[in-house]
Amino acid sequence: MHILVIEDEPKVVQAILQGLESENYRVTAAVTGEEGYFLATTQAFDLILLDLMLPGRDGLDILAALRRQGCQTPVLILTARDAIEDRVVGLDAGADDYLVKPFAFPELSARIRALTRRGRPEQALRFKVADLELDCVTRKVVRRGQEIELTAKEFHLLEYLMRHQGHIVSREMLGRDVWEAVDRATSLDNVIDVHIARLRQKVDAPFKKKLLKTVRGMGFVLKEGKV
Amino acid sequence: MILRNLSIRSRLILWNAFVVLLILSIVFLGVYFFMKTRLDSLVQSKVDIGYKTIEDVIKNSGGDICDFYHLGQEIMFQVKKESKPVYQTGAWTEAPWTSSLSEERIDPYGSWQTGDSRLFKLKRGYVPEYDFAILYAFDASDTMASVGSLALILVAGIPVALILALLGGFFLAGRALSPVKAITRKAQDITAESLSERLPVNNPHDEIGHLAGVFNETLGRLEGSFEQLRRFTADASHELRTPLTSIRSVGEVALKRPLDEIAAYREAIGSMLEETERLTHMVDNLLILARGDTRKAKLNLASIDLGALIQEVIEELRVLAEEKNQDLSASIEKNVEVKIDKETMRLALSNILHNAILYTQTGGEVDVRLATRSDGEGLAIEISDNGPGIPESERNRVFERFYRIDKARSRAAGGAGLGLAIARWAIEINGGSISFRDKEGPGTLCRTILP
Repeated sequence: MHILVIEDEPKVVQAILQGLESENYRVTAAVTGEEGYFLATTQAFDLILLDLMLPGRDGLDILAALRRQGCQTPVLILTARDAIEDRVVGLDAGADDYLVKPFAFPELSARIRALTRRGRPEQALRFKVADLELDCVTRKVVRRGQEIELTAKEFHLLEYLMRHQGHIVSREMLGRDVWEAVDRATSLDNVIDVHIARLRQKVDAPFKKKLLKTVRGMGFVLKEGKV
Repeated sequence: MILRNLSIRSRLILWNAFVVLLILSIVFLGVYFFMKTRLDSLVQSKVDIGYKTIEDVIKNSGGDICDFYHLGQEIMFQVKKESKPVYQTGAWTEAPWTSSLSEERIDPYGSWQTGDSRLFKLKRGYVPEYDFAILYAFDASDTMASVGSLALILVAGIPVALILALLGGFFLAGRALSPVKAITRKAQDITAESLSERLPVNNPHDEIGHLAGVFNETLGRLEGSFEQLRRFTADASHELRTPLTSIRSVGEVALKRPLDEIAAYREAIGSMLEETERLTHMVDNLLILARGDTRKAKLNLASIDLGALIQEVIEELRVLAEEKNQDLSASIEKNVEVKIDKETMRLALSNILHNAILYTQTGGEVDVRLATRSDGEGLAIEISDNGPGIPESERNRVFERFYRIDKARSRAAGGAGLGLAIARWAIEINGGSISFRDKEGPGTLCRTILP
């Protein structure tokens, strides 16, 4: 999987490069709009991460030019502009997704997975992490043959964590995808923490092996073994 | 055009002088013409009386020229018979101009101006009984000179009056404008640092006093805003710097001494990320408020079931109350439809309710009510608790940005102090109002009114 990152802030480029490489992506970086446009038109990429405010050439301009030339590569926009109009403009110009800075890396990683998976239907209905199983059809959660009673919210939360098993899930992702909150500025963080604690109480507490882990400062992960 | 560039004082002086000049001119002209007319008719009657005397003497004398001497030599007249002078007085003879009179132009009155500016009024008459033609001259020089000197006095008085008007105007305008000068001086000295000062008000009932009073009220509001801004800056820098300080010092300490365990590094980085998250939240909240300040937020107005929305918010936050063993009760009127923006309303409600749960002690009570107001005017949402309550003096301030009742700004209990500011913004753009009210017993009552 080859990803092109067009971004002018060196520290951000560095972090994205290292983060994505550790997840076994091949990453090429461009630090100006012109360079990025040149690379995008001369090489084949599976995904482009595009900053909007670039020196030389504006991100939206590059995106529009690429789409005019028939380039179908999925584009994920990274920007600090988060007003609704800005998002609409970006998506109208042909972007596939939109991520507002400062973003949490687990979120970027999840979006990349979603975009590169797009087209291939992979809506699993059963999940399994170690000895914990979840069935979306019967809505049953079973661990070591023992059925666990969950509330609707807890089930939804666990399902989301299992879909992203092995990957960190941030509070922002949970707030947006599980609680469907439009605004980032709500009092949801506390609510999420309480629900995670309750879920842990039901799923992990009675068992020796702990699966639901907190990654300090980042979020939560459902995983066997160490984080 | 030129007037417009002058000071008010100069303009007042000039207008004053102009008006005085206008009035004086009208009065003087009136006086002059009145006096002139009166004197003219006086002269006329004197001429008639003089002539009549001569005529009477001639008639009484029976045409005897010798009797004319009784009239004396000072009166100027000449008597002709068949165009030949038969008698003339000494005064007539001595006046050299009399010889050049052309009688045709005296019909029956006339006047003669001599080379040495003497004026004579003339009257011609005829006594048919004796065929005498009489020509009488009256010296009107003195009377006419009075009219001339009156005109002279009046004309000379105008510049004097004008100077007096200018001087008077100068002093009067100076006096009237002196409070303005005092106010100007004072206002020049008022800066952002001395906003507590006020302009002098001598008489609050006159126009200038009223103006100064209005200015003082403006200064009062400005002072309030500045004070709020000062507080905001202080609180904002505290809230923004605290996480930055944590990030910095945790990073510095981690780098300074070699940590032998990877877990210790993870701990340090995790702690830095937590602070970053806190900062991100704060910046997000500030951006919501800043956007609300700068332009009208785009509202997606739609008719929604307010009760259902409140119920949703309650269910979402119920876990927080449960964690604190609080009794979260609700009394929601059914089928209340309002036209509002759902997301901003949800934001407001969840901020208010979150606040109530957060600041109420473990085991406390929080109650949410939605009801149509008794007067039928709009809806009231009341969120009350039996927590510590808000002192009356702080009830308005809690809606200010970064304002917290807890001056120590403890981080364990409470956020950055933006929640209620956002709630008020969100309620107000939905056309409502929000305030904290008195409540029976301890605790807080937050009432939101929607039209």
